[in-house]
Amino acid sequence: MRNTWLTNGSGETGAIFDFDGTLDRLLTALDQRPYSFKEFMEEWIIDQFLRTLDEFGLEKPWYWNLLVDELDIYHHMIYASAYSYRATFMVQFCDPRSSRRKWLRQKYPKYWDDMDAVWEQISERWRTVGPGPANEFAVHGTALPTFCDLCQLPLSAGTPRKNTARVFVHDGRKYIFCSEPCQWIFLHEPERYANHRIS
Amino acid sequence: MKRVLSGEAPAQLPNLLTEYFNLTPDTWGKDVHNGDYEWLRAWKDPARSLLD
Repeated sequence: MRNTWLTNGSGETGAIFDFDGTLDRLLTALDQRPYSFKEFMEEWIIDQFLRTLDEFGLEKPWYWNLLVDELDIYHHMIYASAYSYRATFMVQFCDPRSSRRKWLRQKYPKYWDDMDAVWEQISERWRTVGPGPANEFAVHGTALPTFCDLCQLPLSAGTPRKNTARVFVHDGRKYIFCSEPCQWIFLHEPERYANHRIS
Repeated sequence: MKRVLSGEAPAQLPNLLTEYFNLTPDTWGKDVHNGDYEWLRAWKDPARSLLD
């Protein structure tokens, strides 16, 4: 679901999807989950990518630290966003806490307190309106979601405390990006992306 | 978006889904438990053991 900006420095963008991180890791039963999405990425993607860079004598892209930092938070942000707009998906969602709460705090100590506060608000809303299918939309986003003009995913980068979305004007038109790297990619080839439309 | 801004389509997402796209609960994603979570039932339990 999420491109992770693994470019090679020339503006070519590789896409590594973390749909796995968003749904599978959060919804897989704990006893069948050998490691977290972050641990998976660190072992199978990050380490391998660094070896490849080293092999070809390339430097890490400037946003490398952002990418690594997002392994702690982005898939949690996008999942909370997807849950909040679940009616637009043909997927069943659930609050990822319960028995997973301790596990998530252990695996993602850097930002879990912030994410937990988001789920607390969702829980509070369910508690207020009561459970049941008739109350689904009472615990749901009502505003139209906004998407990044580069990666075309919901504006879910950053953390619950720091929104990284940014507006940029190009040729008299406003564009909105979820993050600085997405804007950077756009600026490398504006003619390529300027007329993209959210499908 | 143009249809929303012109007033042709509703700007509220639930209305957009149900009235404009004619979607039904059979087609959209749901909370699989419909918000019926054990820790919410135990919310007022002073121990709140499920939240620890």
